[in-house]
Amino acid sequence: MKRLFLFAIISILMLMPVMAGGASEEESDVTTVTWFASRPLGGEIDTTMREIAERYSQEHGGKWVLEIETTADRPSYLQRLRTLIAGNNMPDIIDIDADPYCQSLVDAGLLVDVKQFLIDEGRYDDYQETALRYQEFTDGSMYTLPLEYHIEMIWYRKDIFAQYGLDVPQTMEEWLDVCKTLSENGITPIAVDGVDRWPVLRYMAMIPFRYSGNDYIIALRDGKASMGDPLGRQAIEFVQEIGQYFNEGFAATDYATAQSMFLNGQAAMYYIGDWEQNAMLEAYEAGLVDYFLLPTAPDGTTGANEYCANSGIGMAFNAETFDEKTKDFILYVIENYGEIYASKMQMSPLKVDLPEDVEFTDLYYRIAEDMDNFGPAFMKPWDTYLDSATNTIMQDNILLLASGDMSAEDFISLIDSSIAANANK
Amino acid sequence: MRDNEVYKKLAILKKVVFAIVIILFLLIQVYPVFWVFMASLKPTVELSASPFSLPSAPTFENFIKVIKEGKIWGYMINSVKVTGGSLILIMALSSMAGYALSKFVSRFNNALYSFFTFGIMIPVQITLIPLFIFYSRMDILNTSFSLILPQVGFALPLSIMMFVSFFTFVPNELIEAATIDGCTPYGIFVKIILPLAKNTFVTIASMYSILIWNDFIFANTFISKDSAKTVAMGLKDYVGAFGNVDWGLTFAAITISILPPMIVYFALNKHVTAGMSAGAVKG
Amino acid sequence: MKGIIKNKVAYLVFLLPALLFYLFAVFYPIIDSIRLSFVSWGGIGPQKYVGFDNYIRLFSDSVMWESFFNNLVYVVIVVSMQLLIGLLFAVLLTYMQKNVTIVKTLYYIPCIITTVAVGQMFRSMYATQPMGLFNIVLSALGLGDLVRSWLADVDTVLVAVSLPEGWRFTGMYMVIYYAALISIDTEVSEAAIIDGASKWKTLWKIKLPMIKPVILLTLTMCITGALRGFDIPYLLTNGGPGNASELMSTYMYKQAFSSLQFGYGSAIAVFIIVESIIAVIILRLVGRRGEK
Repeated sequence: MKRLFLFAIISILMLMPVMAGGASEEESDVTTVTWFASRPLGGEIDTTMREIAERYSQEHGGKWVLEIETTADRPSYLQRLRTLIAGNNMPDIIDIDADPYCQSLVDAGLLVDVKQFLIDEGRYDDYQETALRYQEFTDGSMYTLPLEYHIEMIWYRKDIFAQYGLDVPQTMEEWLDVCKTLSENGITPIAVDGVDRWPVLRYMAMIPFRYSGNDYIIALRDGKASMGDPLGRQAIEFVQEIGQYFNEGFAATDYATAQSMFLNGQAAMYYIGDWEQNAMLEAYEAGLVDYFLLPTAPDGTTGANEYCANSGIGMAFNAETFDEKTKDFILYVIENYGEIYASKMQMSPLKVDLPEDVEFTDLYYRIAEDMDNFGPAFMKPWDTYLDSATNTIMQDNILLLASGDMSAEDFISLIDSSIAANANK
Repeated sequence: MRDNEVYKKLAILKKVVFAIVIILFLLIQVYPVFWVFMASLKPTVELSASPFSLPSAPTFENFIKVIKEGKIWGYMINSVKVTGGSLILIMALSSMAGYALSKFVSRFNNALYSFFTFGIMIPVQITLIPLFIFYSRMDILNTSFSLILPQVGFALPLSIMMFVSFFTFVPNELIEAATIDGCTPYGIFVKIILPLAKNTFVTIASMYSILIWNDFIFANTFISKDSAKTVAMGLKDYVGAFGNVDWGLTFAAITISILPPMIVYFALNKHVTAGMSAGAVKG
Repeated sequence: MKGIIKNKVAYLVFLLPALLFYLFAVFYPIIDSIRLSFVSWGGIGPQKYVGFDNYIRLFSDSVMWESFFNNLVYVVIVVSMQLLIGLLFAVLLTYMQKNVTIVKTLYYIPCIITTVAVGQMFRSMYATQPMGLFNIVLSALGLGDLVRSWLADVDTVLVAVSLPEGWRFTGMYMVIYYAALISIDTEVSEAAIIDGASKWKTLWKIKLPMIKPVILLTLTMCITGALRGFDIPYLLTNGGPGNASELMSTYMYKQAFSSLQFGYGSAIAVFIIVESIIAVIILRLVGRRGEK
């Protein structure tokens, strides 16, 4: 009996490595490059990159393989990336925004200087300038490579606007007036996804951008400006004011719900970027919805062709493993990405002649035109500037500010003290 | 006579109220399954616009898409591996430890028991960083074992507690008698203790199979490869850019993924009842 | 716990495997967390020893205290729902003659459903745009004044995130109580009834005291479970709006993984551990006193 028992225990212990399965991979002459990505699975970027990697692999006789581990859900992704790096386990290629955390990776010498790389290889001008500049740190250095390029706009219901005789607002003031009229008529002016928080944060950045470009947020981040400065207060007031026009309970409304509210005509406006153009297409072609760009401030410093643009999360390369094999592959990507990606009806960060065998929609051409007209300045989201701790506090409390549950003074002191405690640390 | 009638009427009324309460609660408990299933039959836009109405035009498109993509089966197999492996270990280890702590003479018993039960209070989130670093050094990230270890570790305190509290009800005389008959401690465990503890096993298995099957936090931290993903993680496959979730697909995947635990639970449930009517548990 | 078998080798054979697993998966991370709670570390670079700084900050952090009190409210709601409703229905089931099995099985269903689904369902239920089930029922009952977006309102959000967690595991506790109640010797209660005791009295004076060990066990499970409650608040509101529904564990998670202050996050973790230990000790004292 005793023996039987020992046998049982031993067999359990022996089973463990079996369950652990696949832990040890055989050594071989195949080069494997790991890309720890945060792209929607089966999305256009994901499929384009897989296609390119597949082709590249074939050209190298299968001796080169790109392994993609993708987590689209951004909070989960960031948590895993940070644990990976904390565990000293950085993959060959990662996805990351040019935020203070990324800066600390750069400071630790972990990332490749992508700007230098592009310039050395003579590829810098292959890209849309704004797409690259979005990836830059404030000092102009750049460590991440964009795979997408977007502009953000305010979509509106033409039917609702017509019903109340409203025109597309040209200035921020007019925008608020439009909201007011709608609200007085019992229409929800703007559908907002508060669950993901970044959409609300965009409203905070609008006024400061109109009056100072990105200077205010940079000064704020560096501790040289206060949230309580006149411009900061103006930003807060704007959030408080426009917050009244958000759908009821926006703090608990998720992305899909906000978007459906707009598409179903339950809200008159909706702020989102061109990445949702396919969702908008049907209503757009039916003449039900249209978009306008961020209104201007008459005495402001930025123009109507300058507003929020982003080139998404960027790709960064592990300085330790960025050898000829990865380098060559990245050049191959730069060579081929634009065309394949654009043929999937996407806005490419690389300048590209649109393939002729693909039929693009009017909406696509219109957005492309707006992109071509883009001014030199662009509104960069605040979450890419602020340190992680301040970002968390700002995102938590901006919902309260917009719903009128927090006073401007409280907000100012929270942000200022967090920046004082966490900036330049 | 009249009193009797009143009494009868009261009894009927009582029964009706009783039935209503039971059924009302039943509705509250069962409704979510119904809701999840309905949700999976709607396109995402309809789902977010009118979440509580019946689908206007039920469509199995979500299911077809999820199944066609085919990844969910692989995730299921991983989940089965993790859940099965953990359950076997939890039940084996905790029944053995429970037996040791309650039926052996040792001055460490009380201290060890407190040491184990102490684990009930530990928030699982604290293990993420230390275990992650450890796993990456051992190169066992993305394996079933990396999930099984913490699952078992955190299930042990409660299951050991349950076994100990059950075993203390098993009369020592029973063991004494067996020892006199020449049974070894191992024989006693297999022949006497285990059969008696059937209910405790079933309770633990039904509780933990579901908790482990649905675990997200460990899987989310220790698994990144597609080939090692569990079902709960696979549900996040339908998250698009900037946080947009395709809820129609997600709910279809959820519907598929709750089938195995449902089947297991319905199957085990018979055992629970059988065990109970046999009236095995008593002090 | 008076044992009877004297066999040291067998003792070790039975005990060691569990002990090893436990030491490794639970104890080692605790020790590591305690160590981390004394450093300042952002996830990269060297860890800097800062002494008690993290703890000093902990006690002066107003958000931390807010989440502490939120957590107490959360525990009270979750525990009372799970135990009281669970017990109530377990008792009711014992009076049922037919269909017990099927009803019991169906009651258990919410535990089976993934948190992601539970979260999304409650999000829709609490909403006003589009009108959620919760608000529809309220208006139907003539309580239209109460209609609101429960998750966006700072006054109601804490209750709103507690309910799903309480609701979810009520069935599980019910099953446990039912098993305990059923296993009571029917002779005892029958004898009491013959002696003229009412059903009510039998329940209070005989049945419930007999399952007291089970009640204490579940109370421990339930309280410590609620003290470390995480997924529902995390999924539904991520502690918001503001910090109105922040719990200790969501705050810890945020500090460690969003704000990248692993040291401070670990200090909060240590606080949660200490807090749970105190709760359990109190519970045991109360339990023991009742026995005397």
